[in-house]
Amino acid sequence: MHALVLMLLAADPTVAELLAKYDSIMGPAQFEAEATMTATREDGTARTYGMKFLKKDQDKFRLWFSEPAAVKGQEMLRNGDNLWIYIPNLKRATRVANRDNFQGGDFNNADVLRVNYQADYDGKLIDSDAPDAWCIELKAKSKETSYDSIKLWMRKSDFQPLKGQYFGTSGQMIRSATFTDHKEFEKGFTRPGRIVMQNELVKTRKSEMRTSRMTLKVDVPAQRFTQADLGK
Amino acid sequence: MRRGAFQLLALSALLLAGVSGAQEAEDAGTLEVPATSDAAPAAEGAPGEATPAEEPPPGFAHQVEANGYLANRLAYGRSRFSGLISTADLPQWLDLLELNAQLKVSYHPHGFAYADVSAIAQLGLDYRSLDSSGFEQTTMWRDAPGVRPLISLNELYVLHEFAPWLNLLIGKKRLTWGASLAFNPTDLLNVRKDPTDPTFQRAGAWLARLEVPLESSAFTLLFAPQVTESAFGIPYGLLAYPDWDSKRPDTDVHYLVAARAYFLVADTDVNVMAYFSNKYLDDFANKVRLGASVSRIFFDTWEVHAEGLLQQGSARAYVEPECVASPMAAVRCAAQVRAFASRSRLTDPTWLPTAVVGVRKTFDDDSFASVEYLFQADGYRPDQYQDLVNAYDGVAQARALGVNPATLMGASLLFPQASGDGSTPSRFSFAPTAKHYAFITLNKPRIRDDFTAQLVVIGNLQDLSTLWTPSLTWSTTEWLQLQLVGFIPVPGPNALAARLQSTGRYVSEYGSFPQLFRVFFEVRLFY
Repeated sequence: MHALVLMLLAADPTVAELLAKYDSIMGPAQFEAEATMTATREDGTARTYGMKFLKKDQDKFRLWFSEPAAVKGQEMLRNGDNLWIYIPNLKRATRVANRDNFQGGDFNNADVLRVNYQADYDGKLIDSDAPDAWCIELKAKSKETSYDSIKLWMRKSDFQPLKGQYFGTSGQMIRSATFTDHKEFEKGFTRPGRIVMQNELVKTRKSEMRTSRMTLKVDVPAQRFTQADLGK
Repeated sequence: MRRGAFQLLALSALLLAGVSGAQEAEDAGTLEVPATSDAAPAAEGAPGEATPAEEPPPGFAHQVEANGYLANRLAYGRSRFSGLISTADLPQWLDLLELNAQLKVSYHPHGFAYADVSAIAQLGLDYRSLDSSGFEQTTMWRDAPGVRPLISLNELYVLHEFAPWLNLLIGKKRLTWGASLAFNPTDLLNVRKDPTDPTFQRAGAWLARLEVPLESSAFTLLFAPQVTESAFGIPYGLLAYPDWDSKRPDTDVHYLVAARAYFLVADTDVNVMAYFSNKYLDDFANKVRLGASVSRIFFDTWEVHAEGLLQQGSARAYVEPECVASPMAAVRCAAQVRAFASRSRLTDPTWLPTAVVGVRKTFDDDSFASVEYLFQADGYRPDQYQDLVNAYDGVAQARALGVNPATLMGASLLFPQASGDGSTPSRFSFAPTAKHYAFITLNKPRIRDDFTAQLVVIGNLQDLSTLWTPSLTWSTTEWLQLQLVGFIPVPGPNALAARLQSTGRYVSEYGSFPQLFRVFFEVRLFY
């Protein structure tokens, strides 16, 4: 009996369990965070954007840009499958698509504003080239998702994501990501503090997202996630 | 309503809120600017080595956020001095220097005051026009009204949230409820935006707004008094013309009341609007108008939208055809003191829609193409446009004969006055006259990373004249942007154009643009 319990404990987790873990780490049900994204372009120069995030429920996301001065005041909102951007000079919100690049960098809007792999992808465990990591192969459930398929490596000891490869409909790898600087942002909540998204089509391009602050203890009204709240 | 009561109340509230917020921030000894990018980056560490988290942020602290830009725009436009529209006040060279400041003072966890102000200095040189003998005359300097310095109070308001589901806004703000990009038929509040660059016009309207936002809907009620007196862009009269104004055109109360319901239904933005206005920026008295707009993304990258306004009658000025059919007819009308132009459909009970439908396709490289179609039922038919051209032609003839056209009844309606509300000077003022227009925008960002190319084409679909606006923007750094913009009006085919009675020359809408072409170069530094 004792041996059976040990065997069960040592058994591989299911893909559903791994995806649930990934979503709870990378997209907890609600949080507030501050981060910077540095986009390195083809000519080697870089642009840095400062931003604040707010998330509630599984599908409500709000983002405010604070840097640089040229984009300060821009806001983004996701509510379900709907995504809007508020541009201060336009003085109104405009709908945008999930697949649009996030501020011209190598993340797309859904990478940043939608982390719900359980809902968006089916997956299976495949052989991992790293002995300390699980490797999952994900296939998009619909054409609405950012990528057609994803390969994801998660550390066996604590389920933290380590690496990702993202593929387009042609099967070509279009992005790859490394997740590092795992940090306990709040007691009992650890996640990568740094994500580097490499553009695999244009190798000189990459974007780096650094999270400087993150808290899960937020209490925000649902009205913050409405189109009417943009630009306030 | 007592004259001036509203403006005093609104301005007092704004000043009190602004002073209170600033004072409290000062008292707290802090001038906090949220600077997420300045925060220390996460410590480098090997995967798996969890490091202690930073302390959570403190509770609310008064905050002052400031940003803005300094822009200089040098423009050259070749005057079409022999055209229908007088170019006497239009400089060929224009340099515009704008200092913009945007200040947000959070005086309370649920309230803030906001100001967006531009100080604008302009220098115009080289004015070309026709003299009384029909020859080109050049004036290097002159005091043209459009080239005077001004302060543009783009926005200045206080917003207070009494509960998450109830907030009040008082002040000047640019509110746009419609979904269209180039032209918003339901926007009855603001200075018209420039369809060649919808982000350029940032001036709003003075109003008080009560809003009830809910999870997937919002309900709004607003009251907007018209600015009746202003100096250098600063209003000092709202709602009615003051008694002391010897030139006051009427004693009416000028205002607009609007109600809006917004719903997010089936992933679609739906706005339903109702307006009641009395001589607010037009001549309609006690007028009810209805509006609606929808916007939705289809097939992941196709944004489709529609926006419409329904009203009875029109405030547009129409030319009396019998008065402009020939020079003799004009003389006869003048002798009979008949109006050359009038707002003849002001009380017309016919419901007249104005609508825009459009689609925007975003491509994988973030470039986009947008096409919009505008229909306005009260727009001029080709024969009515011919009447308008005849009237302008007649005015030019009268001037040449030494007759002041302002003395002709109704002629003043042909020359609408520019907004005196101190809004930012437009690159291009879009005042559609025909029934059918198309707007096409092609935008390609990040050509060699920092360059964005754009082409906007506005087409009058009745005479097929067009205005082409190519532009190239270079974001050299995160704080410096250079932009080169051209405006090229292209006449339509003669077969669709109106014709001048005096010379037989063909005239189409953009073919009669007061400039043959225009280019400008702008340098903008953000801070």
